[in-house]
Amino acid sequence: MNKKQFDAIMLNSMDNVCTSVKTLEKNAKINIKFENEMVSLFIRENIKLCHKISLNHIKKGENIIKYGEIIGVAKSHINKGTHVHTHNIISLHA
Amino acid sequence: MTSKFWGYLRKDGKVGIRNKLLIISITGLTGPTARKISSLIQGTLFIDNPYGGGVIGEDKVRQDDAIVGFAQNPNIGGILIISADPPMGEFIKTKIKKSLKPVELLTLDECNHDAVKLLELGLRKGANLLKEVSKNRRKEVSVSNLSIGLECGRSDPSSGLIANPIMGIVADRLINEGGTAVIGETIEWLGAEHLLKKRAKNSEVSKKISNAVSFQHNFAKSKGIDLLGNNPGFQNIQSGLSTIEEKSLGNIAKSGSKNIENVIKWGENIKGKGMFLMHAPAYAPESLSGFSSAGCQLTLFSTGVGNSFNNHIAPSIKFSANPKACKMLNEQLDFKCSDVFLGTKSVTSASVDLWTLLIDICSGSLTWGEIFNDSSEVFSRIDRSL
Repeated sequence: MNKKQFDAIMLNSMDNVCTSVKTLEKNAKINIKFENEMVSLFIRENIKLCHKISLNHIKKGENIIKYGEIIGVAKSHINKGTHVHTHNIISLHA
Repeated sequence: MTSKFWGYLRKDGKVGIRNKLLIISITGLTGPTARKISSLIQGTLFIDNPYGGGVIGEDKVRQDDAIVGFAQNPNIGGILIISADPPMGEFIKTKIKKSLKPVELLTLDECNHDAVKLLELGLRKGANLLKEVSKNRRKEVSVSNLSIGLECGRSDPSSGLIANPIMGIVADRLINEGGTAVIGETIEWLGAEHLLKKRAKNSEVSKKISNAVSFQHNFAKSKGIDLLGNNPGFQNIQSGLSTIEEKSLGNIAKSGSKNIENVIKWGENIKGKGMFLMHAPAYAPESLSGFSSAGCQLTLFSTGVGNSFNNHIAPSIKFSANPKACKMLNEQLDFKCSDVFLGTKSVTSASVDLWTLLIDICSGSLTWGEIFNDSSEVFSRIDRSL
């Protein structure tokens, strides 16, 4: 088990979002845990505990991937390192 | 070698993890008095069916099956049925008697509809039943006798990331050791049904999974429901869940990795061993009651931000991986796994701890939900009354 401190978790190599494990402030460089590795990301917005952050620039209409599975599509362009939630993604079953 | 716990071996071969006298009011008219009787006899479980003669058709079958299901749950050692009229009472009593447990029936009719008389007779009958039920003793038995319900409520992303995968490992282990587990909440298979279907025992079960999800989704659509705001609900969204797919993928993590043996109806008795799906409503009280009626002795209940509701007959082990909830809800969470969320402990190691707790609770240690009696059983309805 990697005991190094991390700020967010990514679950699958296909994912384009990660989930915060603490409250994060904008303009910070955060550590994201993926299996036993650590990836860093610059975040541009405040992120609440358990909320999602984009790992890449995501185009409007592109699938949002978490757990290696589709959890919805982007309603608008999502910049890398920003909050991903109901304001910018929508269910395929909506 | 399979794990063992201390349980109550019943005459029908089932094993209870508790030994309760059930006081069940099967008609709306008898509810208030039956509740008083239960409150005056220590340690009894009370269930109130608030409906009655107006329940017809498929609803009537579902209601009667649930009453019988609750009474036949192995955690129940004896039953006092309280009914307004004799025919309904006798009908239920005959069915429950098949479990070979002590059963008594008391009707408002035989008390000339005098509630004070009902209270007196109910206290006498209930007290004598409890004396008999209390003679049962625990014996060491295999976990293969266990059926557990897997629930999540007031979830957040920590549920799907950590708590539910831990539950999934425990469910897999129980099934490896010959036991049974069930998940419900059909609408929370939507967006993840392809993963459940891959695990279906055969094509017939796979079709049942598709049909159940379509049915529930079409039901929502036919009522003009936008799932966003309903499921995920307000609290889910506030705590970070964005779509039904995201919630569903986290939800099914609690079902582990075993084959899906069958899809059963709400409250339907589970026949066989292994992992089952219950086609049922998602809101906790109705979902949990389906597990009690199906014969589950225990529920594992994960939450994100906290959920004070518990199963009445089948004690709920309540747990969370959310650091705030773990800090604040000391007398609600039976198991805390925020250390896994924060990376100081592994999912595998936490699952071993949860398994140890499960054995302990099954052997008689109390859950917070039992200590506070924050629980009830409810009846699931399909249609309107006459």
